[in-house]
Amino acid sequence: MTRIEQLLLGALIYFIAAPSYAQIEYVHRADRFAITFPAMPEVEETTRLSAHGVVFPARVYSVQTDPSRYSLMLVDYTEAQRRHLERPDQTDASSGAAFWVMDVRASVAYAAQGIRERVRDAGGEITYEGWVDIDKIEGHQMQITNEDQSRSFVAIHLNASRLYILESAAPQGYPPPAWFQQSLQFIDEEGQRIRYMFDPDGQRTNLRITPLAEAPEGVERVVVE
Amino acid sequence: MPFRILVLMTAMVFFGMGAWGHHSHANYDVTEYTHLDGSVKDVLWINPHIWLFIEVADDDGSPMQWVLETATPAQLARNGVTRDTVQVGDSVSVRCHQLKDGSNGCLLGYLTGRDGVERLWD
Repeated sequence: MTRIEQLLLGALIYFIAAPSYAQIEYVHRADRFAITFPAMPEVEETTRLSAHGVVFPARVYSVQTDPSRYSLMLVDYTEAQRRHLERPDQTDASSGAAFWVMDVRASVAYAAQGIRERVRDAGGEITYEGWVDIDKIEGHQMQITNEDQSRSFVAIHLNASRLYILESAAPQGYPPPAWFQQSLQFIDEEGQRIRYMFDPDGQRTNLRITPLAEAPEGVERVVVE
Repeated sequence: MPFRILVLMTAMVFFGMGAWGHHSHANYDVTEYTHLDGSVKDVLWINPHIWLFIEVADDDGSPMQWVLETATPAQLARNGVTRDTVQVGDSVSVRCHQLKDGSNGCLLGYLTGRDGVERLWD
């Protein structure tokens, strides 16, 4: 067998033996999340205006698998205090000591308001919205029938000064794309899963840190530091 | 360790698991069961929940695909559910909690598969 034949045979064996992953469990340590995508997401850097008018950096992780779409936007509020102090349009009313904290706390409601306006302007209908939690990290979820009768599911959460806006969409006649937002897990800087309990006032208690469960067979875990 | 203490600790761990559930079920109508009969089209075995896609005949006989949210792999294992319990093409009967907006998604619930045994999938 020639060298070239050996290489071709080796390549053939590799492709036959290599596992074919249908799903990507995407773990991003810096952005503190783990979530399942149907393929490797594209990443786009962008910005987003906050409820109180400050520009924050954001990243969009997205997968378009015709005919469905899955995206997670992370808005980074970790330097909210500095960004508020440095805003060029300071007034007495926008420079209180806790103003930046209120901006972060307002982020979930503000994101939901933006989606409501977008759906209204596009002729869609919100068929459900309400409170939700992921491992007791509270948030807001929305279910939408768009004008073309496709369905969108939205979940919005705030954790560690990071806002997560998850959207998935499936065409008319397809089952609701609920699995995407329910595959979200929050992690710490070490990549460990964090879970809480909470009290009736929403105070988080009983932090529990555990390793992420092993990726199931057929799922490839991709870890981004 | 006295047997009663062992039983008490086991019960605390078992019943405490629900409190550590991954997410709320506020968007499902958990007060009623919806009954569906259909065939399994796909199984999405991912963390932290497993999802079943089944094809069901709607009121006029047209096929409609439903998505069923189930428990975690660890919880399903405790319930005696494995990857072999349900496979694509199986006929199944389920009791589940439908999404409140009336769309074709459901929180499972109980599933009766090809062996005729009803198992808890939540």
